[in-house]
Amino acid sequence: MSQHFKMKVKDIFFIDKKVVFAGDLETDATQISSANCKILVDGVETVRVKIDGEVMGAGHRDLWTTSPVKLERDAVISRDVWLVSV
Amino acid sequence: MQLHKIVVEGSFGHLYRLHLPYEDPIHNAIEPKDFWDPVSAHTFVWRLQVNDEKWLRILCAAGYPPDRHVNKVELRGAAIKLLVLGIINIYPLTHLRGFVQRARYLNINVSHGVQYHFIPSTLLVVQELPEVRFFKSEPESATQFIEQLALTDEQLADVICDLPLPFGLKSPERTTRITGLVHALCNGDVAVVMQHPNMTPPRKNGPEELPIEYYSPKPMTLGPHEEPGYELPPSVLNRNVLFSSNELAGVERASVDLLNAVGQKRAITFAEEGSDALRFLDYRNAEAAAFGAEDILLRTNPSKAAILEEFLHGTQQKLGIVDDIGRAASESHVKDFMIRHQRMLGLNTEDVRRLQILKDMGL
Repeated sequence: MSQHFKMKVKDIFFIDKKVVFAGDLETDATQISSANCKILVDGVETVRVKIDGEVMGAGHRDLWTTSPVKLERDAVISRDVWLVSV
Repeated sequence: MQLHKIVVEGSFGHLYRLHLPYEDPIHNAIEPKDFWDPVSAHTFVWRLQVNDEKWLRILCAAGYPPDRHVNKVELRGAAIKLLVLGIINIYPLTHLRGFVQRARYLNINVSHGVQYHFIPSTLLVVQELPEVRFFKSEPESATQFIEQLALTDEQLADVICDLPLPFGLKSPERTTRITGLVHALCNGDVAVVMQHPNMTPPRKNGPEELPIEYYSPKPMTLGPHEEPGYELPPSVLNRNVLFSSNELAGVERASVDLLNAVGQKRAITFAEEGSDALRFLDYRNAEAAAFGAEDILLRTNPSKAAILEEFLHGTQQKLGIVDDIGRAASESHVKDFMIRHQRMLGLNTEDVRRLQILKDMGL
């Protein structure tokens, strides 16, 4: 099944060594598991990370990674940040 | 009839103040809960312990009475709209845990893990709660209370530095500072908030499988609340909050043994006050979350049902069930498993009922 997705990132959480991206996930996949993706800030690719999967739980579809992510929460909130599968 | 200062309980024992349009504005230092999409509001509303009758009264009081007889879902749907539109605002009563103002208002440890902090009364979203104490016109009680805290000079300076004291704030004399604090307490300008301790057992490492006793059909005792004749303490019975049958978080707290047992198989992170972990759980309105097969995020003092569910999500991951049927179906699958194996897992009737409701709601 295709795991193509993109997410408009609205918030970011740093939990232990994990980083969680929260926002609107656009995908046809019922489940995102391991996937490489790029982070776009204001339309510019800044870094590529490996998504480890979706956080289990109902309602929100949030993605998490153990890749290092140099993004400040303020930037996520104030700028146009997208997570796009590659 | 107008309602004022409505306090409701959400999942995990969190208290919230519902602020209706006609009520006096809340101090601008306190921010309402942000619902950026209907999903957040939906999850939040369904997990509030507010019954249909109360929702109806709230909607009427807010000026949006339903124009016909509506059912449970429509009532909450109307409430969700009002939340998203900002007509009803939700203020978490986090000041009761000293969280919002923790950096400014020192938590003072006393016996049995209980903590107190002093706070300007203007920052209290709700004052009429058992955790909040005023000493209006009780100077002797206020003095005795401060003395029994046995504050050091340094602590006293930290306690009073951001409080609206009538005098004594910059005095080098300890007695003058204490007298100023007593006056502020007696004037009602300052209140004392009591904070109860949370249980955070240590994390352990160990072999893979849950100990056999957790798969045993033998009934388990989780504490004195399961013993015959146990009665709820007065502090719980007398709480001035709304309760209803719509409580959906787990009831029974996880025992330390269970937490330790799961902690030997999974990496558990406890969401501490002020952490991103807690902010994340609050955002999801969740009691817990699972990351892949190995990591579990829990609130402190989690329910037994929550920790078992997250543990089982890890098992689902390991067995490939999540990849096979997807995340949403896995939620239903795990709850179905827990309901079917309630005796094996030692879940009580109320926890099972709530699991069934959550499952039916697709949560």
